[in-house]
Amino acid sequence: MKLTKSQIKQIIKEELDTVMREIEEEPAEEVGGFSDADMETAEEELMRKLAEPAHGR
Amino acid sequence: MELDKKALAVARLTAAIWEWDPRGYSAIANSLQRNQAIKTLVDQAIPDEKSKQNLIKMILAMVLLTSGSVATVRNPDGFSEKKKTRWSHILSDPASEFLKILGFPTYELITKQDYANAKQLLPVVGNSSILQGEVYTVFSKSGLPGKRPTLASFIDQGREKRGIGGYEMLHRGLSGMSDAVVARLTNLSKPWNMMRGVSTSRDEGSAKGFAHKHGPNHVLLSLKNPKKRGFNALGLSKYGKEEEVVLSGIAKFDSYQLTFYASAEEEKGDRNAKEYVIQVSQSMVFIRRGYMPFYGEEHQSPEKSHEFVKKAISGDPFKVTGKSGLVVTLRANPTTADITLFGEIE
Repeated sequence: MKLTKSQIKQIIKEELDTVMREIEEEPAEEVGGFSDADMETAEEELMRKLAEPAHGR
Repeated sequence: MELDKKALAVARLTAAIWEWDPRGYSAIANSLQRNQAIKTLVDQAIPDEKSKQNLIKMILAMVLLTSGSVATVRNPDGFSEKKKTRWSHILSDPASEFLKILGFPTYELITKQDYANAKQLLPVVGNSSILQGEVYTVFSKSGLPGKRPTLASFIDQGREKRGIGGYEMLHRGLSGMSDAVVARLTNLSKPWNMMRGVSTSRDEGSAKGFAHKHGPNHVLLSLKNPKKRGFNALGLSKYGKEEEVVLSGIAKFDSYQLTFYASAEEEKGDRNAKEYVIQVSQSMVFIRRGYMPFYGEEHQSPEKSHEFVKKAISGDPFKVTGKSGLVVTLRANPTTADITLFGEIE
């Protein structure tokens, strides 16, 4: 079956739309960031520092 | 432990008297006049031995927090008998003079019991609150306003009456903190337990100085103090310039302004690369590329801002779509943060 020029254009357009949609919907690259455990350690560091006089130990 | 309000009033007045300039002929003459005023105050306001002992304990607790071993204040069992030192070695001149007036032998060695007393007393004195009027009544009844009118005028005309009723705002600077601590600071949902007694300053400039003292990641905490809690160490501390107030209580922060810097992975090696400036508050994220606005998100929840900071400041890459549609992968430059938190002490 021979496709007409407009059919080819339509197929390409649909294919492009699909690819673009997939790119847009692709989940963002998973980033690490600080964990809850990091936050707990940070809390200890913060409270330790806060307990010292402003001029240091 | 119950607070001796009269003793606290005398402590606040003494801190104020040490800031008074009697305009005598010399520094020694000035010091003498201050000493005489404090002696009059002590004799008239707290003639009983129990109040004097309570006041001595308050002063000693403040001294151990500000110039003693803080680790031993927190854990008196760690007291080292081998490293015993004398009170006179860690006292400021004003505190030394004050303690002598109260009859305390400053040549004595500091004991483990002194640290245990301090640990017990700091949460109480740091959380203490006394009305300006109550302190002024103690001052009036001592007869000092009549005997030393320039002192009365000094206290009357000062900002917040020289702090005799406490201070409405207190500040604390912290520096050299990790990026993880900066991320923790943006979690506003968690109150801070500062009941053990922490060092703050009535002077924002002094606290800012400490925030910038040891390298990057500057932290400034500004606390409203509606009940005017705290023990005015001020000139009685060996570090009088810090204008220190020992404070204890539960702190709750409700807003912040954070700035840190990042670079785009896509611009690595590009001589036209620009630094990205990331500004975050409890309700907003704003990113500039150089001087040009790149991304902005307003009216977001404090939780969302905190989650953003946890990711963005960690040093791990994160993607941002700019307002032009351009997507960049940013990576925070380590320890470049400057954060000011605003809250209130309960």
